[in-house]
Amino acid sequence: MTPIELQRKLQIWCQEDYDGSIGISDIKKDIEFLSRELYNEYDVTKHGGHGDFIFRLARWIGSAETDDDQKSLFVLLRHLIFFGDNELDAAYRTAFSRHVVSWLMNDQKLNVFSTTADADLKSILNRTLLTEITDSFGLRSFLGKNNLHGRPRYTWYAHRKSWQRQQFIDTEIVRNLGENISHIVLFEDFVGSGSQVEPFLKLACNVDRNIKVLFCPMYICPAGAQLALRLQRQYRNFSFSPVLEIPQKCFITKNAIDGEHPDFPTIRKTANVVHPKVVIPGSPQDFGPFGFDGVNQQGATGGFIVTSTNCPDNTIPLIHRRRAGYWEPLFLRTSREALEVTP
Amino acid sequence: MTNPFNNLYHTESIPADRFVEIFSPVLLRESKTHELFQPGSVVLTGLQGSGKSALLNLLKPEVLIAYKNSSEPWPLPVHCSKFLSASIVLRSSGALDFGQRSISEEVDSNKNILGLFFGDYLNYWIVDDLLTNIELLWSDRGAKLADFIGAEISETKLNNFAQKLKKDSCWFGVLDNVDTFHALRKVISNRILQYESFLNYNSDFPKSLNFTKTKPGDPIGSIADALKSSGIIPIDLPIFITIDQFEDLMDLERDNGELGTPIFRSVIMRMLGNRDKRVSYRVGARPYSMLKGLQGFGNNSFTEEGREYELVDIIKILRGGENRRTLFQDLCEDVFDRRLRFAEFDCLPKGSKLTYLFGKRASAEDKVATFIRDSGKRVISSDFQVSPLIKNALSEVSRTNPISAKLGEAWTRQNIDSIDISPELIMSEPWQSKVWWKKERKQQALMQVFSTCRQKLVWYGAPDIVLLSGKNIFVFLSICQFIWAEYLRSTSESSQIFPKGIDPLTQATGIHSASEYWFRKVRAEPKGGDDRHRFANVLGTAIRDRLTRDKSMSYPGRTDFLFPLKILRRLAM
Repeated sequence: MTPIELQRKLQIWCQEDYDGSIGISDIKKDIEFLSRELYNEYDVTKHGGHGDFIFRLARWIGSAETDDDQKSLFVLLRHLIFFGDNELDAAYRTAFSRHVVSWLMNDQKLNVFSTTADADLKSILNRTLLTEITDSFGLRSFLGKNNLHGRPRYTWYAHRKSWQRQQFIDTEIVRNLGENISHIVLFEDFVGSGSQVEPFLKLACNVDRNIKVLFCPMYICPAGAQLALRLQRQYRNFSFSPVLEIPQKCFITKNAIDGEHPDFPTIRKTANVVHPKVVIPGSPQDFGPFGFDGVNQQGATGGFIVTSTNCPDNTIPLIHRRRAGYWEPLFLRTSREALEVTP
Repeated sequence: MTNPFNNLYHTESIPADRFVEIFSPVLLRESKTHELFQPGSVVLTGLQGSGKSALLNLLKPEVLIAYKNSSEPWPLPVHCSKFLSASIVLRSSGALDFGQRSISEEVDSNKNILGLFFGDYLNYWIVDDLLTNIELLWSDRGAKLADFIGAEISETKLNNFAQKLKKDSCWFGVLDNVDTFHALRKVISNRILQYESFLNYNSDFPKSLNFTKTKPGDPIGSIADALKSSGIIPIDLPIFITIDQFEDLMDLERDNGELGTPIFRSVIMRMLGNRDKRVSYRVGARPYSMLKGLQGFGNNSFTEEGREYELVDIIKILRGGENRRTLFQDLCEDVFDRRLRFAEFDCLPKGSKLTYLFGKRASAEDKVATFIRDSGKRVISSDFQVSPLIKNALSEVSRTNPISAKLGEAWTRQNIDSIDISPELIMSEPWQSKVWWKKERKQQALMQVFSTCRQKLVWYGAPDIVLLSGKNIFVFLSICQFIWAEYLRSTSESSQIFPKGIDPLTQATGIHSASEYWFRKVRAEPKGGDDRHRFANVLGTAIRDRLTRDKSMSYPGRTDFLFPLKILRRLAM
């Protein structure tokens, strides 16, 4: 489908939405605005032959075969949560100034009215290791935005195969911060089910039970938050403080639940219908129509979340998966794992 | 391809030489508007975007000069062409900063003194603009216009003028040390700067202002006298002073808790009420800001329409009447045409570009045929309790003419108890011969057909667009802007070649978007916008429901409602 064909279709849908109950006209207006002001920040499709958002939107809508499914995809856009560059900047600043600093001050019982408060905080910060779980967080950028100089940088995921506790202590702690380390912070940009971050959180908690650990994701889904809270009960030295916890009502579930958004039954139906086009059925990376569900089989995340750097696997695959000749994505995801070759 | 309607307020934001290209003189065909260009004070009223500021812009010397230098003819008769003018736009002049800082306790307790300071500021601002315009006429750029109006300007004359001016007692000694025109300009601009500096919290209130406040309008009359007696301008040359955005003073009064006493507006009414033959005022105002019998400041005399000033109401001019055609259609055509030429479109057609692009009037039947598929099956109400034979006959009619079938249903409902209605009678469509009965119900039938077929009602074609604009050129441009934006999204054409028509669906979508925009705009307005939005919403829904539910179409004009006076009085309290 071309943008012009899509525009025609939208005009007809607007006309048929006679009492405005579907809200096609409102979505159309919002998308026209957001495609100009926000969606063009998506890194993955900025270069190469992907085309502007409006072209990708037309191809994506055109990937569905029936008019009802195409309309349902368009209605889905009402639920899309796009975290742009400005939102990430704000999250970086908030993560440090509100979450990390508050956690350190509360833990050390610092008196904010004391004349030495600033110096005391700096002293604690010098005994704190700021780390990222995966490189998608962008620790370097985070340090720059918060004006934090001369800090060591550590990415847990980079050491996932060779991690050893003593080696971590010797090279990352003693060499960088000396013997008197007191706190470790683990950042992550987006956490879905939490299955990917869980092992690293446990490793950090087990480095030394006297070292306090803070897990501070920028955006986290309900399943990931539940996992973090469970760890908080399990490890006395572990704290969890997300910048933004996305509420459950923003996620679609495999089966209908009471009180869900009235759009969801239609979107669910479409997600199921188009799924065989989106992913090779039964292939290793077929997590089902509602996205990656981690290793705990708690049910797929069913997210509609896109960040300007990438589209998480927890987002429903029809938004981000490409299958040549079958399905065109709206926000193509770059995956760490190579996707299966399409026959 | 660009959207030629992107900037709705072109006439307020473009330089004078381009203004003459885009300004439409259609309103000037109405002789009432000529009063703006002849001696005597005038209040020009109209709603937002009705064209007040564009008309008042014609008085500016820069615009007169632009007309002199362009191929566009001056759009008025010769006797409306020679004048000197000055203007103040209240919003951009700094006058609205009054009241954002307290001058003194005395002023706070006696708002009349605040009014005097406000009047003094206005006086000096207008005088400064008048002197700026004299300097413009003195320059090479203004020489042609100066010749035309008979102005003779030299340094000697200007200095002589300054010396005459200072002798007038209305200045309370402020000009005592002025001997040259240059010095005069410095004193005037310094006075304005003193006010601005204080209002922006950059300095304390200068004590000297307390003892040199001028009366509203006096210094302006003094300048007019001195210009004539110095031989700079002819004795009989009218001097026009434009004060635009009068309604903004209501906000200022509200901010000062003085809505009951229109202290700032009365300063301007005092200028009008002075009956000072030396200058004529032109006040641009929205209708609601012109209270009946607005008192002149300080002297409690009422300023009356017809005596102190003439009222030129753009709404009345565009409304037309029983015996004359409204100018609005021509205004739309001309404005549309000028916008397209201004945007430098290629291949513009001859004749009405509005009709060329949007098409002729679409009848109710055209609209159904264009938008409703399989309407025949759905037009007749399912709850219509009538014999299946009659229902089938109506369905048969609806195959070829759904609107007629809907009218037939209404006619049947109205007459079923009084005459014997057979399927054959239905097939002969007797309602078609009732010209007035049919005419009054066609739009209602259209609404019911679209409602039954679960489609939004549609508007398209040039006549619909003009009609929906409600005699407001700003609304007309806004509708064109939305339709064009929708067209740009649905075309791959990138050159500036004028389109060969915009299809009905694109037009209808654009019009709905414009409608939503204007409806949202109501809510965003301060001072009760939210209430007005809810009122319009409830009212619109109620009227629509009433018209769609009235299947027998017994009262198609039932869109009126009564509003008890006691409720209005209660609201006004």
